[in-house]
Amino acid sequence: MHTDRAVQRTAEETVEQADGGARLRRQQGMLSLNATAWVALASALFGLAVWHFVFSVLVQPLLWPPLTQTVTTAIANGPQLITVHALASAYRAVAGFALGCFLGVVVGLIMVWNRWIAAFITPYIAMLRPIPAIALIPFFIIWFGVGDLGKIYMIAFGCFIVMVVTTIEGVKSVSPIYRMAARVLGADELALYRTVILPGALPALMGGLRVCATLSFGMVFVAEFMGASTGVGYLIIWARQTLNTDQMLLGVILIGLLAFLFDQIIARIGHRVTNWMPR
Amino acid sequence: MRSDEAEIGGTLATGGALLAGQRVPVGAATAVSGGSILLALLFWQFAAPLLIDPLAWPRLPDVIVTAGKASGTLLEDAWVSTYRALAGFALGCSLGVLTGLAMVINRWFAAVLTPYLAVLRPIPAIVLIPFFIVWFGAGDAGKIYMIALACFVVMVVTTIEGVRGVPPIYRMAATVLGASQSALYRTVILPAALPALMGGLRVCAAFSFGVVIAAEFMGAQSGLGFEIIKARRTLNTEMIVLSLVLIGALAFAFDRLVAWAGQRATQWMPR
Repeated sequence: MHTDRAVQRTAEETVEQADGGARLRRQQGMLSLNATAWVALASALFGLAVWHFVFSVLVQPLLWPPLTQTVTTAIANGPQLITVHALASAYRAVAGFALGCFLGVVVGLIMVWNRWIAAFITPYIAMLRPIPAIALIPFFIIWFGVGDLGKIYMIAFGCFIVMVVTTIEGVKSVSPIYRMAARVLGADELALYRTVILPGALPALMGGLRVCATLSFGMVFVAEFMGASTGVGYLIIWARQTLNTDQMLLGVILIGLLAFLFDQIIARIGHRVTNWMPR
Repeated sequence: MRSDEAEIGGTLATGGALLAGQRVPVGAATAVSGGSILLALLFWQFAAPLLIDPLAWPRLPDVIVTAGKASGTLLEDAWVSTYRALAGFALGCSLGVLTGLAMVINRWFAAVLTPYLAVLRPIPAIVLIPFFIVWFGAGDAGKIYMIALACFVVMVVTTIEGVRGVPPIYRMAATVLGASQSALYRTVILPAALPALMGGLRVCAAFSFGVVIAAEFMGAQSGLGFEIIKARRTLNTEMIVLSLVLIGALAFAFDRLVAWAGQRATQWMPR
């Protein structure tokens, strides 16, 4: 019970580290916690003040929107932004992520399990791996049009490649001694994978999932830039054509929030499922 | 590596890295990998014309003919994209490492920058492309700055984490032995953080080539990304495939180069 709580606390701490302020605080120790936190806060306020007072005089609203206008637009359009566009983007990103990661892990496991299948598939993975998935968008548009499907498949493709490689490397990282011990104790192939190899590879898999989470949220917007009728990426492109920089900025902020949220969810799940690990 | 352990796929270094350690007879695995590629080429040459619309995927002979005809343009575009990716990579990574070090050395500086990094970090860099086009136009500068920003954020975070990963005992030992602040950083902290930094550089290398293509999709007059967009409008799928192959080859070569440099720089490490 005690250790459980300790693990959870560490987990929470590590999650908090994602935010730079917390990391800084930990690093500097308790004494200067307040001082550095105040400086960070002052710096943020200073930035807002520069945005409000200096930018509005010096920078054209066509290049960077005034603070007040951005806030007004956020209040006026916020609900629609979230319910229509953010939801559409999140759906595509998460659907592609789920599909690609699932298939990637399955194919990765198959490749580890049977070396002949591995030898057959490897040249294609090796060829596709260095190509940035974003570069394939035009093909996916040609094949599937500009609807949800093409975007989901494209994101799935990007995640698939990452997860195949991560799964193979994760399984390789499981100490051979575990494998041998399980064998000696009489585990059959299935039990070996279920109780030893998969759990052992899980930390690596979770790392891969976080990479894919970031990837999905990057790709969905580029895909929406290039052809879509909903989604935050579409919103940004449309706002750019009309030089509505306040809309563009709101879109970018919304994307940051979505990506941050998804990354946190994956990180938390990762900690949950690997909380047997010494940390 | 023992002789009965083969890198499947032989010459394909990436594939080799994937499966290194799996015990497979050299000849047989290479034969299966080679057979697999041969099968795909045969399918492309003989079955694809009957099954797949040439507007969706080009014919093999057409791709070869186009490769011969358009090689000049393609190489020129490849050079332009590479220049942008490398310039942005170099600019962003060097600024990122310097800023990261400055943040580690001076916590007040770190406190000032932290809120901005925290805001920028979760935003995928490619999403900022429209802003960079508005600010810098569709030329080289905007793309280079864009890539630099992406690499900058990654390298600041990597540098801070790399330095934090240096065991405190090294630091204390050096200080006790009388190392000055600058000697401490030069001879202990930087070398010990190097493996982490090299990992960050490889992430940035992959990033640079992704971002440059996305940026060229959105507004450019040259580069492989521009070539793809142009070819897509005319459904010139041969050009798209050729551009993709070139991008993959360039990204692969750059990744190998950075990995090689990393190996050399961290030669002292036990491996």
